[in-house]
Amino acid sequence: MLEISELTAAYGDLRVLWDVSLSVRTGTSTIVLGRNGAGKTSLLNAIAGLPPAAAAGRIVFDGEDITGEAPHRRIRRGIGYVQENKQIFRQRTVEENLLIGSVTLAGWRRGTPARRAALDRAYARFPVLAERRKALAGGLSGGQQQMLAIAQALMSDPKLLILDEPSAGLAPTIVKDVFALIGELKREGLSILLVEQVVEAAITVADHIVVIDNGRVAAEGPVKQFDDASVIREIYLGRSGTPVAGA
Amino acid sequence: MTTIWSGLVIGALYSLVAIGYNTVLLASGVFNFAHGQLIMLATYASFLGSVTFHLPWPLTVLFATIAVAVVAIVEERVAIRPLLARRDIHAALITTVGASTVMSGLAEVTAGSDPKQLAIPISNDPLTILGGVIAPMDLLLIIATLAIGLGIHFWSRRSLLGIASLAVAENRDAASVRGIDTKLLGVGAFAVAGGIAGATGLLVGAHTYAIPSLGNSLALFGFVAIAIGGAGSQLGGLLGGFITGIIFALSARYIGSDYPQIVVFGVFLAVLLTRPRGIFGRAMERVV
Amino acid sequence: MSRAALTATRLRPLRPALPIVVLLAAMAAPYFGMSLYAARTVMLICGLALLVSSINIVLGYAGELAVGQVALYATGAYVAGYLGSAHGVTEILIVIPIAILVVIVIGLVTGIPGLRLGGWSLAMVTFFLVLLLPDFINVFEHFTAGTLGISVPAPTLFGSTITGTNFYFLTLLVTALWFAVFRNLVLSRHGAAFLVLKHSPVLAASLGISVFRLKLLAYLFGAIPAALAGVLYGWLQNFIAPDTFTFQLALSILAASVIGGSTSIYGAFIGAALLQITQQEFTSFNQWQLVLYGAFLILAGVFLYNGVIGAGRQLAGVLRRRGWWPTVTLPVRTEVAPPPAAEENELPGEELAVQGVSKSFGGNRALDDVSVTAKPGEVTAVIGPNGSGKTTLLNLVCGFYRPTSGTISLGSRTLAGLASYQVARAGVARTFQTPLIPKDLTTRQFVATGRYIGESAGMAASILRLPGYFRRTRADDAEAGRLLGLLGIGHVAEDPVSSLPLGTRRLVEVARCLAARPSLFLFDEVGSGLDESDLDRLADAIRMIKRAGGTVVLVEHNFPLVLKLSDTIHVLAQGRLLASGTPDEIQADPRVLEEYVGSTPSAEGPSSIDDFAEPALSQTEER
Repeated sequence: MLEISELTAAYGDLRVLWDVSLSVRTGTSTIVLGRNGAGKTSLLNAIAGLPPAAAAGRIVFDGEDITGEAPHRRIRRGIGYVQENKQIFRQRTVEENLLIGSVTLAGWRRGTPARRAALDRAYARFPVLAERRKALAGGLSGGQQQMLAIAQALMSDPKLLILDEPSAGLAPTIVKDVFALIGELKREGLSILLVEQVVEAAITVADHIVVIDNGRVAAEGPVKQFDDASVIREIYLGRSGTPVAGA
Repeated sequence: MTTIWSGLVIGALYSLVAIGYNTVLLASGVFNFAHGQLIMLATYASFLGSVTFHLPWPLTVLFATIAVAVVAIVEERVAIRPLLARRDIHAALITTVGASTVMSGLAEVTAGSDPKQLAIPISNDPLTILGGVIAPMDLLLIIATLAIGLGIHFWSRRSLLGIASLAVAENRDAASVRGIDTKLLGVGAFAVAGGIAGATGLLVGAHTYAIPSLGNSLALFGFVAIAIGGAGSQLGGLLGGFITGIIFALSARYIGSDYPQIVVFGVFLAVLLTRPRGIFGRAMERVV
Repeated sequence: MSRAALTATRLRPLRPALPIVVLLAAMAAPYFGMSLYAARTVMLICGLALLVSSINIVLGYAGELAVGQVALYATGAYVAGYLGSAHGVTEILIVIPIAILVVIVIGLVTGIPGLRLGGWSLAMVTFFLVLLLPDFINVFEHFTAGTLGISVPAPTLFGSTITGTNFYFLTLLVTALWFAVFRNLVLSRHGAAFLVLKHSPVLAASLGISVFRLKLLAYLFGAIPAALAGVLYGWLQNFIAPDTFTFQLALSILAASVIGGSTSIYGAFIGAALLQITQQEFTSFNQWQLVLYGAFLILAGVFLYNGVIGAGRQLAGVLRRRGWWPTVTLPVRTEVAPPPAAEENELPGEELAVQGVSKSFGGNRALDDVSVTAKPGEVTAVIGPNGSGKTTLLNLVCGFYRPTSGTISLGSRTLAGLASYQVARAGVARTFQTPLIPKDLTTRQFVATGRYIGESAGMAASILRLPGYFRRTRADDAEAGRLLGLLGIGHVAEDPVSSLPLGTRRLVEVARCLAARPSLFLFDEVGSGLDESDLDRLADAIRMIKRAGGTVVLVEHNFPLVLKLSDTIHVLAQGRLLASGTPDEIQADPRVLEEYVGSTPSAEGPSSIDDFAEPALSQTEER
């Protein structure tokens, strides 16, 4: 599904990723762990086509090299990207937000059958959004905003869903809902690439783990290898003060 | 009432500039200083169509629409696109002033600085309406401006494309990862703004004649219109333009012919000082 | 390294030698048979260069576009004309100050509204001035004689009339004096402050600089040369009429500014000379000049923001890299690095007290009743997962937000409600999650900007290069060097600060904070993205600040770093204070682990998760 090989990326002259390789196989999920500033968001942005730009290496999606493609083309190929901080259009209504997510569907009218069907699916999955379809997105609660952000990314019917810290700033019960949803999406056949801080929750939906530190892959392997939660705790709490060795 | 009519006519001109500014601002986050010059070029294109080529008016309008839209697209390609790639919108302060200067310079070189009168398709004998006198073409200009301003306002609120452009205005990157082709939308906005300028060229030119110096003063008064109406608000720009026009006409009538621009300037400073976000709309501070 | 060396060359203050040689040559020219035509050309170039330098100050240094120089120019000329013809006042030492006073008044009236929002507002206000010029000239017909024009009697100095060669000398002298003033201001800490402002208003505010006031100051300062040019022009022509002061002239000096390079000092002469000579020598140019100016503006905006001088530097850089041009190796100033064990002098730490602070954005509550204190001589950490409200708290303390409720005080002073630059002046220094590093400054100069508000050498002292200026600048440089040495990075003092890697940038930011000798240090995610050795150096620096009695607040994600350094740790979660305590207490607190890893360590019983089972309330944190 997604194959990244030796990706190096930079904001202008400032390099933030070095030789990062990882893959997401169809129907599976990969989670990316790492401390703040380790380069996780940069990695997701580079995959979606936002800065930092790839300076070397390749990003292959669905068998096609997409390195250097404009973001909207990548989305049209079937990548859905839920950015960090519940990135939605706060000055637009819930329904308008969902419609914005549907621009990749055929046609430019807002009432095409495909678009209506996508809206209906979204409202069926997130009844709370249906209730508040005319409300300004900026006025929703944090959890609802996160749901809207995910619903918006799903409107384009992606094959791979990328999520950047969907739990950030949410209460634990809401975090559980978010991960229940991610698990459900995965069961429906969606491939998932996830950056998360709440490791234990993330592990419940993970098949594969990649640990990033200082812009490089520090460790990776199937989730089984990370069974011992102490390894992960070390990444964040750094009892030993050093990054985890390769798995 | 004649004063009010004449204020509305001048105001329509300013509203048209404000609509052009806002169209581009909303879709690409760029303030296009050269829009006044696009309108100036539209009057020349309409002059070419109506006088030089003796085209019937629908063809003149079509010709001007296409011609000015093409100029706007070229402007976007040369003066704006390279900045977007560099993520340095600030330089647009310089490049759009440059584009504006090139346009007025070319008009002066090719057509000279004398005003040129356009051929008008209908009899332009003044009408008396509501106790005031107004030329039919001017009345059409007011009506067309209202129709365009309201049309584009509702279109941008309701159509998918309009909503998409509002999304780009709110957050360019986030819009691009929702699958919106932000570059295409940017060019499209320039083309639409140019097209509107071109389409109204005949009506504008009937009032102002085709003259190179038209662009700069339109650019400034159009800016006053969006300062009053709030940048990024099509409805605000429309109203702001008419308000500016009426202030202009009233001060010309009651204070003296040297004063209207000074009075508008004073109002402009007062608005900037007391209501920097505009009297009606919320401003997009990061741009203007 | 050639690139760094090159940039360092650029940063080195331009030696005044070349301009002085040029000035002396121009002064000597009349004695070597200079034609009247040539002298006139030189005088016109001087006038244009003054106008161009007016644009450069505002555009190149304050980062705003102002194009009303033509109106100020006209004002200067009309002041000379009116005083001379109506009142017989031609004394240079009276006319020039009055002209400057008048343009400063115009500058205030237009600058205050125009700079409220910045960007296009100022450009439009100033364009408007040019458009209105004919109207104003008509309205003030009594002073200006309207479209007829007005004659300008020759100037006098202490009663004796200045004409011919003497007027030529006068023009050169006034121009030279202005450029000396301009150079001295720009190559001082005030110039550095302008560059900081242009790069980042947020950084400027956190250094205690009021963005609005500094921009206004630049704009007013820029009005002066326009007035000088106007007065000189009036005297040169002996007659002025409105048709001189056109849009076209306004655009041409803008073009000259970008051609010569808006951030250069003497580039104004290159732009002005090109403009004047092509206008005089090529008649066909006059027809096409607008098109050419416009094309130049587009090209300059797109390719060479730094004008001919900048392009020259770029070209030289390419040639050097290919080895076709000798590389200037600067003598590396050997930094007498103090031994790493050196201690910082005592810092005036004050207690920060945040009490019951809440902050809502719209309906969302990002912070809810948070109380935190930080004592001098201690390191207080605020930790929490992403979106927990850490950055919101920081922005509240710094004055970027106002609290919805609650109080914030530093020592006996209340911080809540102050503007961000006032908070900085009250003794708060901060670093940024992504270090804000301006271009065109050396590391030493950048660190010295931390002292800008502290004991600034006044603007007058800088311009006149009074002994106080040299004393201050030496003290600043020495202090910046000392601090860099203290942090173990003395060797980068002369490198362009924008060339440094991330780890060093963070240390440089710490040095910049130290330079301000603040009562409170706020470190925002100062450890993120650093490798182990950088982290160690950073930890040493923070411990040193603590030993010196500074109050340190770490807003941090790096748990190991926090555990190592802190005396007290506050944990935020979903906008609330979850726990406070010593590192050991926090490490043992199951709730904290839960927040971070989402795990409930099996042995530790039920978690207190239910305390937070309510709608999430976090708002996007702004950086």
